[in-house]
Amino acid sequence: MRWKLEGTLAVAVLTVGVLLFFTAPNLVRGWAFSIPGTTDVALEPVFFPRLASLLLASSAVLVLATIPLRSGALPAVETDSGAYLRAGAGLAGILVYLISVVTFGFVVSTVVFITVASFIGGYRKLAIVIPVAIGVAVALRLVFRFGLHVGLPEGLLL
Amino acid sequence: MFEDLLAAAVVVFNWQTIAAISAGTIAGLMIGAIPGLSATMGMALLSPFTFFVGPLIGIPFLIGLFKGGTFGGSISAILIGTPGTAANAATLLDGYEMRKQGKAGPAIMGALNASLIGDAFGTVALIFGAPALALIAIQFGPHEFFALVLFSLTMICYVSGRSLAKGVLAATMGVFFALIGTDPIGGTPRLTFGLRELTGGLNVIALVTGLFGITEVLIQMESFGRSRKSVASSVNVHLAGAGMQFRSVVKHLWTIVRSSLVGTFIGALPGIGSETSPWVAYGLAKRASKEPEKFGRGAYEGVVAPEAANNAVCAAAMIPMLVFGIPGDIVTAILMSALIAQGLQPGPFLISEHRDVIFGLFMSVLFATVALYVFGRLTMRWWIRIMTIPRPLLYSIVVAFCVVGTYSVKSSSFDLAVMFAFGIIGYVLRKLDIAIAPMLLSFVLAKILEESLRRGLVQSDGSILAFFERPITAVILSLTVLVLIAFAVLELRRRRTGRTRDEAG
Repeated sequence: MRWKLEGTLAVAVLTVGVLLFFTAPNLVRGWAFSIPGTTDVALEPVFFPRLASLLLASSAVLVLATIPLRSGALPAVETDSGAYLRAGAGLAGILVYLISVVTFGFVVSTVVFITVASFIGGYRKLAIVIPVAIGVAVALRLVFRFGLHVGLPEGLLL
Repeated sequence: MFEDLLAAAVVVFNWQTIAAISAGTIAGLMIGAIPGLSATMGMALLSPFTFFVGPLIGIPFLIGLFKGGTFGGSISAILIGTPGTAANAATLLDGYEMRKQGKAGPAIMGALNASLIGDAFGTVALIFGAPALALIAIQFGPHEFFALVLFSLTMICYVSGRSLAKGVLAATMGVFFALIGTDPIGGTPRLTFGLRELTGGLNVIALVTGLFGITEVLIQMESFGRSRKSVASSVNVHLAGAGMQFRSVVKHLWTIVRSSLVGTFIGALPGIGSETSPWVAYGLAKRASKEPEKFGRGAYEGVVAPEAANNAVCAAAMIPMLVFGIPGDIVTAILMSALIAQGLQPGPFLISEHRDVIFGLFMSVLFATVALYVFGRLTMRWWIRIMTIPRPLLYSIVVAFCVVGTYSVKSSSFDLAVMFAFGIIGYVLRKLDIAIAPMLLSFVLAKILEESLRRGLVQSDGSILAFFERPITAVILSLTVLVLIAFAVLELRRRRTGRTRDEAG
């Protein structure tokens, strides 16, 4: 199972590397840079992106090639699908939180996120969670606003 | 130099700097003591806080955090058999055994004493080594820097975890991410995929926060809601025997000193840091011990050796970072970005151009050593309670810290997206047992490598031979080849030993 996942990642990286190698000239925008004494001597701007794509592809091939050597020693992959579901749900929750921070503001979003995440995560003492959530959100907001003079997202609410 | 240090001591000896060091050390101890939260993660989360205060407040805070976090990890390693940071993994072997034998107090106190001595060694090396090395570094041009960065990159093979191939894969991914942004010579936007926000490159804080903060939260979330063995019950131990332990220190002084020297030496090498040195020190202590059979069964030396080594790294790893602008490990990479945010560009001229600030930092490192011992001793019992904080609550707060830390650097929502993306990348890599350290180190080093190579080529009219003709470059490149050969030999020997063991067993 583990080798399949490693192989999938390596193939994905190999594909990206190959694609990047051929599309690199289009991804280096510009003005066909050639200042005498600089880029013409110090390699073209596309050189390093191409080199990086070659390195990506080669390292992916290396991983693919060494899978048989490592397959005996590969640790068993986590088979608990529930674990992946929980991580996936957590990922979705973080994404929603990030969007709501920008949309609704840091304080409100943080209070809601900490409360809901703790509750879903299995810690359900709301008498502790809610004051902690409010305390953390307000303290961070005050420290950044008045202590460090840095703004946090305010959004529609706070 | 001593006048500089005295003048710096006067500057640093004010309530703001001392408060910053104390707060950093306490925060580090707390973060290190909680399994899953590491000094690296703490630095990533809290370094943006320091961008908006003076360098002699912000950087000392981070130094305290680094030292506190490195020692703090030993507390959970000893008490619950889960190292707070990767640097404390070796401490677990004997520390947890000592705890099972009812010797948690002596184990933690031994770790603290060893950390203090190791820390002192690293600090002395930094204070005296960095200015001396800076005199040599001033002679470095782009060719020498290229060779040095190449040397550092080869060191990545030592932090690649169990598989070199996968370490190389992570490193090349780091190189690719480093190229996103603007060509350093021509100013041409590259690999920005039409996104204006990528023109300045990927924000290193967003990347680090994603790779360490969000990834760790996702890993922890996997076990949310599962019935777990209560941490509260497992840390319900009495710290009997947690006295000063002077006799034990004197008895094992040579082990501690040797481990401190090992940590200082490895820490000062660019590219590898606190994760490698404890294992080397542990191995040497075992080999030198009169009772090697006790290692792994609660040997006191098995606790003090790795702890002295990993704390010696803290200050020593700052040497290549300050003098050459090459970070010794991930933590110093974060420290470097904090220095740059303060307008202090690490490199050969940093010490001569900002002598007052740098010597102030040296004194802060020294103060942080004292603070580590004082707060480590006084607050030992707190951290046992800290470990009982419910994880769902703790990690949802960590996400909030990730957000403020990343957003505050440039007030950019795009950076939040970058953090999220790297959280996913880090999670995938961790699930596939691919080390994250090579990716981050190559991300930082590739930029310096490219710039120095291209500047070197410009200087030598495109001749690559210039890189081999200069004496310093030739020496460093030869060392690079030697390191690669040594790694190959060690790897072969390790495999052969493993195969022999398999056949025997």
